[in-house]
Amino acid sequence: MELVYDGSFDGLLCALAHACSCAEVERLTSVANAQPTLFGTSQPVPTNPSCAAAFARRLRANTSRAVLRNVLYNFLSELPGFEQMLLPYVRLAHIHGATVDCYHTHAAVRAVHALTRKVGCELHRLTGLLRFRELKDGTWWAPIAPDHNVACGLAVHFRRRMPASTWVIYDVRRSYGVRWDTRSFILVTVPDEWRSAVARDADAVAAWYAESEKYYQRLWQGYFTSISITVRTNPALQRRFMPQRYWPYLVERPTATLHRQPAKP
Amino acid sequence: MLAGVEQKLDILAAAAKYDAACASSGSTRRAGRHGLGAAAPRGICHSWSDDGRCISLLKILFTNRCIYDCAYCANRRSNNIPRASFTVSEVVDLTMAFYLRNYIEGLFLSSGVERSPDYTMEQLIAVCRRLREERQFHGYIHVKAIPGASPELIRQAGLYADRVSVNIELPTEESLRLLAPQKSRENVLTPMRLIAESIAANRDERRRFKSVPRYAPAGQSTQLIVSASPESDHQILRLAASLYSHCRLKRVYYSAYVPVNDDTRLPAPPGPDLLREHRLYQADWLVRVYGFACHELVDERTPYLERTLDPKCAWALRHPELFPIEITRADYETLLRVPGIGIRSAKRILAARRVAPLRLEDLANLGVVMKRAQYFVTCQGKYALPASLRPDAIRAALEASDPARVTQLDLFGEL
Repeated sequence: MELVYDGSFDGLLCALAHACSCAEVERLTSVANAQPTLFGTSQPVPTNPSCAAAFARRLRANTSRAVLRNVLYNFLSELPGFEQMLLPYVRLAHIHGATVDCYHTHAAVRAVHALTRKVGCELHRLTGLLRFRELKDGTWWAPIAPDHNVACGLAVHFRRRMPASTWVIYDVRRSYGVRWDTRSFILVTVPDEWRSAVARDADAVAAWYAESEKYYQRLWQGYFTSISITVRTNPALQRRFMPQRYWPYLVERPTATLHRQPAKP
Repeated sequence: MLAGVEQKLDILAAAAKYDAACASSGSTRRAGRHGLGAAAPRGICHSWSDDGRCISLLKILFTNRCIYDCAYCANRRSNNIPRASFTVSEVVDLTMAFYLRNYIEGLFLSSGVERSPDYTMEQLIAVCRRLREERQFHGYIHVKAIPGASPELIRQAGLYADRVSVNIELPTEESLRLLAPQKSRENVLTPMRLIAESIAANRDERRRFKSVPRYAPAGQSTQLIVSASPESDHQILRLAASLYSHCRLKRVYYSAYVPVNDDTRLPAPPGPDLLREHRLYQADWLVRVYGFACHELVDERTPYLERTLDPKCAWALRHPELFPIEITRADYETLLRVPGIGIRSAKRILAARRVAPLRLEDLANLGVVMKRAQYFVTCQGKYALPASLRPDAIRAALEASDPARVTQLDLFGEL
């Protein structure tokens, strides 16, 4: 039997709760990815926040924080079909408790860990590669286009770091932002004309920048060039740490060109 | 000539770029409701420059004016280069502006010696003090202790900074006398010992009173220039190992010598010896993290690390009597000594074999690099290869697949 949930995290938890108590459930699918099946049946799961919270509490008490974090990070990965590995993992966690994370040789555990690492890695990388730009009203504005849905995770990081400023981390790909107003978070959207402009170019909204913004960007670009040792130029290494897909929203402009070796005969 | 901040930054960043230290890890700080910044214990890299090195800190000199004339240094007195000095408020403003934009994780402040060591050290401390006390800055600060500055000033620096460091630069007294005649070994080691003592004393105090402010919570580090003087890998690693055990250093950085001056006292290699630097770092990790002793990797009879093979493989091939190792029974320390097994895969092996039997096929899934490990392990008595090979056959296979050789051949030049 296939369970279809609404695509929210609460919905996923409710579906997992249902699947753990009912052995006939073979698959979980979010409503966006659901396809009519030729054989077997599919059944929608109602989303109930209190049921989801109860399941999360139970999972946390019977296993560990790490297991709950794995569920969350796998959800944030937004990869189609991540549920197929998550379901056997959570079932295994119900049997083995916290030791489920020791079963590194189990295919489902391995897949879940790998996905958690992937999302965690992007989150960590963006805590460094995200760039704030100062707007005229004193707000700090940071557009990003991550592969996974990590904007909220980043917001938690920057609350610790810049608690006294107002800032917006805006996910260009998913068209939503998280705003911190020195007291609380709010999910925000941006005006349509901004949305399409920012998707093309991080600096498309330069007209809204504070006066000193361009000056500090220039200083940073200059610093970025000066700090590199020319005889050690190594663009392959640079790209390995800082993949090119993150470059459009940086302020600095990496210039070293990749010199490809001719193929060996 | 009065230079603007933009030119000063160009000059003083370029002057600081040969310092390899970039760590921003090992410290925890938190801003209150009104402050700015936090230090993450695992460190964050913010960018990677065109040479592939990470940019974590705003790495600048306070001034590149210097009263010394060290042969290897681009900022030596006798060089005719543009000179500049920041003012305290310029550095403070720049740090705050860059930090708010998330360009950097903190400040790395070093300096040429202007007027006197004490004067220079006072300037550096003034920057740190103003950042911490006036601007409520809680980001990471790495400050250089200027050799020859008074002990009181160096002690003060650690109260504001996360990391304080002194560069040894050259591994032996003789090289130092030849290439940096105005510096002495004692001049460098004295502040290093002082910092080590202050950190130890602070740890004791904090054990008794939680309210005592932390002193240099990220510890101290140093840097050695490699290939500028004739020292062997053995001398360098022995020095590093003794610094780790006696001065409790967190890191020793190795910097392949890049010729910046025409000086008859110095060698003139065609390019920096990056492969030697790479091998030294590998050996350094083995000593610092993997529990190897320095003399197991290099000794008087074989004073150099092998260039064609990483130091762990080389060690394993010298000790065929210890292998193969049975994965299902070996303890953590033994696992770490197997080529192809690192910290993460060793921990996974320990965890996995506690809950389920391990099979040879599982090892690759645990993150073990079987390309190297296959020659050195058995799992439930099974060996991965049809028959055990002789060490010289294993050596040939390992050399052919060495990552530094395969992927970076063009960078390291002739091997």
